This record gives sequence, structure tokens and C-alpha cells, in this order.
Amino acid sequence: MNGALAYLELRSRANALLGWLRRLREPRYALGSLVMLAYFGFFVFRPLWSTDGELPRAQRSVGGLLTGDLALVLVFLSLAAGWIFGGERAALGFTEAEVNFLFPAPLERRALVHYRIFKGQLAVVIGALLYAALAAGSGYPFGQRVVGFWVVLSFFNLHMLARAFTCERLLALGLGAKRRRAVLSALLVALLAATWASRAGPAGASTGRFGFEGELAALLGTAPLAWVLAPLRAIFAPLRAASTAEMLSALAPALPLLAAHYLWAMRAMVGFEEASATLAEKRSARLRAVRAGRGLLALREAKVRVDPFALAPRGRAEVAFLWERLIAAGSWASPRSLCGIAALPIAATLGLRAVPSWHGALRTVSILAGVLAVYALMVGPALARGSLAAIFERIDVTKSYPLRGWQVVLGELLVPIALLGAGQLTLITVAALGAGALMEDPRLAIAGWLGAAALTPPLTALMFGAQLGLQLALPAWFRPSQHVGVELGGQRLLFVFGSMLVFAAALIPAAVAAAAISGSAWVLLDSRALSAGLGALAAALTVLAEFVLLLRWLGGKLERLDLASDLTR
Amino acid sequence: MIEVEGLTKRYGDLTAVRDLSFAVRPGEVLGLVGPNGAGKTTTLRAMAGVIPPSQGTIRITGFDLAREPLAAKRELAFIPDEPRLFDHLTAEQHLRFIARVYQVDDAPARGAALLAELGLADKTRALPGELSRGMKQKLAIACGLLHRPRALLLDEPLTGLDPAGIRAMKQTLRRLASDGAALVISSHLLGLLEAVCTHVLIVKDGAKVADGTLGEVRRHFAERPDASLEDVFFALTESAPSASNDRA
Repeated sequence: MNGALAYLELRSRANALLGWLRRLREPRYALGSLVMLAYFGFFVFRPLWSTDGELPRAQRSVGGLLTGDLALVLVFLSLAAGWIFGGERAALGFTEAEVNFLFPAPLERRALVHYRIFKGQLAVVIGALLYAALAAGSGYPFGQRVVGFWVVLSFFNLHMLARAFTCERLLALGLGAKRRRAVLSALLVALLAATWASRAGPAGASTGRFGFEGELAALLGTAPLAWVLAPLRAIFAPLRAASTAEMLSALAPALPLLAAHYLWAMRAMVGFEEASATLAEKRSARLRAVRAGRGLLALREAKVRVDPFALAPRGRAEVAFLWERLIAAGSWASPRSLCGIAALPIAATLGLRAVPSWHGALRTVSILAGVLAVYALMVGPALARGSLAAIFERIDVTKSYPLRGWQVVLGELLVPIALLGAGQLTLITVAALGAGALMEDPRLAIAGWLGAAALTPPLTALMFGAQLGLQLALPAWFRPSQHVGVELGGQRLLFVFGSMLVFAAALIPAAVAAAAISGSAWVLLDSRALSAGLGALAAALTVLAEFVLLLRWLGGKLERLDLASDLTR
Repeated sequence: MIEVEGLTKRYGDLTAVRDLSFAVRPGEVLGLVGPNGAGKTTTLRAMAGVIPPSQGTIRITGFDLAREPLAAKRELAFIPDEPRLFDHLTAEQHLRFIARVYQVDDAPARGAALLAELGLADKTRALPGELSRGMKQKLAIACGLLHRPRALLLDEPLTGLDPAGIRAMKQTLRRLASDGAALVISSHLLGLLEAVCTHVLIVKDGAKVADGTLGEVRRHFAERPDASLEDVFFALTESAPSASNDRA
């Protein structure tokens, strides 16, 4: 490969590593990395040097899945999806900087493709090591697993590269994306139908395996699917070899297959610059959009949207943030749309309530809704971290506004709290409606609903506040360029752990308040439902007070935050 | 009135801005000049309350930015070099948002007038993605001017503007100054600064190397009386070591 391009890639990786090492000098970043390394050590790499007998069942299952027929099917389906749904232009994954510097440079197209393959290889090697560690329960030796996964991942990369070039050549021959999709989909369906039709006898009889595994093995061994899968089986063979000698002999067909794919890619090579530049722009725009706070909605184009409500020039400034964030979220986030969305599951639950013979399903729905509400509370704020990180993108402007830090924080948090809160209230309502029909004393369900409905919004607010607090404490982790390897994993683990800790800590005073109030109410009023409701209300007010305190702290943190200092680390 | 006294900003061992003091009175336009990495943007960001200074005080129209940040910021507008706009708000919605943040009663009429003045009258329904770089810059400027700030901080305000936009911007800056606003403009376009600024502050390595009116700076630091700001700039930044309080 071109020396300059090798230098670019290796130097960039080395600098990223050095940057990570530099950040380790600061305890908070060192802690994050330590957490991730400890996690990897205990849960991923420990089996490699573990001598304490048999591996856990889950580990064996993962090992079996990664090396078994299911993995082969997944690779096949991914390749098929690439052919069917892939674009018609050969767009290779270059960054905008690479497009700007390398495309106008006096470099041969071949050198750029080699650079792309080289970059892919670095990821493939890391991936092979990781998969090999994860597949510790497969029973194959570690070295063999590394080689085996390297072959599989390299094959996948080269095939996709050759596919991209071939698709553009097909376009030149008049076979555009739509026609290609139709033809290949029809071929795939025909292949599966023909295989299904020629399937013979009980699965276990031919494969010695029974159940789902046996059915799958039998199907994959049936022509014509077996013929199509033959090259893939050759690629998987080194991974599944019974011994080192067998692995070496399995490499004999696998490596020429890789070489053939490389030659195919080089022979099929077409001009990829324009499509790659467009792709780089799109990726960059998507990244910017994610950072600007549209999170998962970043895939959608920005559109002119009507105001969710009339925004008067005077009033609380936080409402302006709510207004702006609602526009950003899209028309589905309007109060009317949310009511419509909530009405569907509630109406369905009422339907189940009306028919006694469906009460079994009603019980399941009620439990599921309750569990989902708790799950959304725990996981929702973590999933919204991309949107919350947008606060850093706008900070140059928002910090110059005549607003207190807590006002900016509250403004940024209002929409995620409102949206998740609306979803949780819907789930709680469904759970309570179900429980009300099944409980002996429906008043308890009503009290439970009231309590949960009162407690959920402040708890949701608190969880979002905790998430943002962690982000304000560690802003450097929210630069997308820093989202790599050890730090990313450590960050997520710490965030989950931190959120749980905040949740538990917040509930202690709330539980004390609830116990005191409901106990007093029980003694004075002698009503279970009323005392439970009052207890929940006391808990809600306590959590709300905690959120207000957290908000003040977050505001102060935001006012003191010096991003230049944090983000240059 | 903008008053900066002993402003220092440190990042670990690096001192980005060192003991910087200056004042901009109503009607004055100060050009902040310096080579790349001289600390211009850091100075502006500290003056806008975006980053806290390590030392020193900043007063905007008499309000201490550290002690009375809200009162100071109500009188302030900061227009960064890169226009930071909301992807999903139209030009008109941007102005409505800003009106609420700054509590501007006559926002609809004033916003429309500003958009017309900046040549964006037909772009009220446009999203930032549909605007050119220069138009985005103009929209950011319109947002900054909506609340009639008495102190303006502009970081490279002409970046991306077309010739007509540059001319209009110069006129706008002069009008703002004549209306009594105090302006600080950071720019590498020395011609612009000569045309618009009444005063100039030259910084190097985070420290002041010269300040005063354009005439004073020329008199003290140029070899010829008809020297341009460019001549003065190179004379000071290519040879002179940085020194504080080197007042002209």
C-alpha cells in the first residue's frame, strides 16, 4: 500500500491511542477505562485463562452461536441483503477529510481501494480477536478462532467491496437498483422454495441433531441452498476445524477464495469517487444532526414544521426550548399525536377487559406494560444520551443567553421528559386497567395508578438529570471522534451503573417519606387505597424536590463548564 | 460600554490569554487582531460568558459578567465565527425563539426588518440546510441584533458573505456604532477593520502588543505615517515579543 496512506492510518490510530492514554492521567477518565477493562477482563477474556473447570452455560451458548450454522446463515443473509438492498453506485466508506485530501491527490484509484481494504483489515483483526474471545465456549482453540474469524470477516469485507463495484457495473448495463432488487429477491425466494420442496424426511435422521438446530442443519444441507452455501462453508471451515492440522488444510480452499474475491474487486473496480464523496457528506450530516440533538431522528431530513404551540415573545424562556425541541422531534411529538398514539393500547386493553375469556391475555398485557414502564425508566434516558449531548453543540450560543444554567438545562430536558413520561403514563394506564379488572379490590389499582402516575414524571426527570449530569462531568466522551473502543464501553457501563445508583439513592428518601405518610394515613383514615395513594404522592413530591436540587447543581455545573478545556484533552 | 481588566485564561500549562485589559466605549468599534492562536476567540468567548476567565473582570454596560451574568448578557450579543443554528427551525422561527429568550416585545416587526436589511426577506420559511454559508451567517447576525444589544462581540463576521453582503454588513456595523453600541470585531480581514473600526487591539501569544485608535497605532508602531494596518500588524507580530500594557 502507498506509504503515505499507511502513515495516515497508522499515525491516526496511534494518536487516538495516545490521546486515550493522556486522558488516563485524569482520574475520571482513568476510572471509565478501568471499568471497561475490568468488564472485558471478567466477562470476555477471563475464559481465555480460566482454569476453574467448565465454562458457564451462557458462555457455551454464545460460543456455539458464533461458530454454528446460525452464524453462517446470518452472514449469508447479510450478503444477500447487501445485494438486494445495496445502492446502485459504488460508494466506499471514506470520511470527508479523506475525500477532501485523498481524492484530489495524485493517487491511483487502486491505491485508494487498497487503503480502504487496509483500514478494513485493522477493524477485522480487532473484530476477530473480540469474536474469538466471545466464542470461548465453542470448544475450539483460541488461535484457531482468531484465524477462523479473520477469514470470515475478511471474506465479508472483500465480498461487499466487490459487490459495490459490480452493482455499479450492472447499472451501466441497465440493471438499476429497482430491477436488481426484484430479480434477486425473486431468485432468493425461488432458491428457498426449491430447497424447502426438496427437503426430505425428519431432520434428525440425516443430521443426527434434533429440534431447531437439526431442522436448520438439514435445511442448509439440502440442494440447491447447499450449493449456494458451499463457498461460505469453505470460509467457515477453518473456524470449525476439529484440529490444527484440519484447520490448516481447511485454509487451503479458504485463502484462494479470499484471493479470488480480492481479484474480483480489483477487476470490477469502477469510479467510486463521486458516490463516496456523497456518502461521506451524508454520514457527516447525519453525525452533525445527531450532535445537534435529533438523535435517532437524524436519519430523517429536516423539514419545515408547524409550531407545536404559539410562542409569545414574553414568558418563561425554558418554554422556548420546549417549543424548539418539539419542532425538532417532529409532528408525531405534538400533544394531539401523542394522545392518538396513547389511545390505541388503552382502547385495546379496554377491549380485553370487556371479554372475560380474554383475561388471561389481559394479565400478560398488564404485567408486560408494567415491566416495560420500569424498563423505559431505566433505559430511556441512556438511549437519549445522543440527544442530550447536543447541549454541547449549542453551548457557545446558549451560554451567552441571559439565562441561568438551570434554565438552559431544564429547557433541554423538558421534551425528553415529556415524551418518555407520556409513554410511561400510557404503559402505567394499560397496566392499571388490566390490574383493575383482575384484582379483588379495584380501588387498589386506581390508587396504584394514581401513585405511579404521580411518581413517574419526577422519577423520569431525575433519571434524565442524572444522565445529563454524567455527561456534564465527562464532556470529552461525547465528541463522536472520541467514541472509540475502551472509553465508549466504559462510558456506557459507568452511565448504566451511575443511573442505577442515582435511582436507588433517590428512592431512599422517597420511600421514607412514603412510609411515614402512608403509615400515618393508615392509622388516621383506615383506608388502604387512600393511604397508598397519599404515600405515593409524598414519594413523588420528595423525588420532585430531589430533581429541583439536581437541576440547580446541573445549572451550576453548566455555568462553570469550560468545554475548550475538556474537549481538547 | 465593554470593560476588560486583567483577563487571563489558562488551560493547564498553556496561557491562552494573558493579563488583557481594554475598554470599548459606546459608539466605538474595536478591531481585535492577531495571528492564529493569539487568543482572540478565547477572549471573545470569555467576554460572552461562554467560558469562565481564570483571572480578571469583564463588565458589560457596567454589569460584572461574573457577578451579574444575566444583566450583562441581556445587553450582549455574541456572534461566533461558525453560525450555530437549529437544523429544524426556519429563519422566522429562529427569531421567535430568540425573542422569547431575550423577551423582545416587538420581535415580529423587528425580525422582519432585520431579515429585510440583511437580504433574507424571502427566506423566512427556509431551514438552515437550505441556506448558503453566507445566509446562515446573516441569520446568526439577525438573531444577535434582535434584542438591540448595547455590546456586540463578532468573531469573523464577514466569513462567507458575498460582496453585497459585506457592504451591507459594514453599513450595519457602522449604524450600530452610531446608535451607541460598543462593538468588538475579531477578524483577519485587516481592510475591513480599517474601514469599520475606530480602535484596534493587536494580540500575540495571548498578550496585548498594541492598542489605541488606528491613528495612534500607526503613529507609534509604523515607520511611515501612511502605513496600513497590515504594515503595522506585520511590524508588531513578526518581530515584537509579546508584552502587556504596551499602550500606544
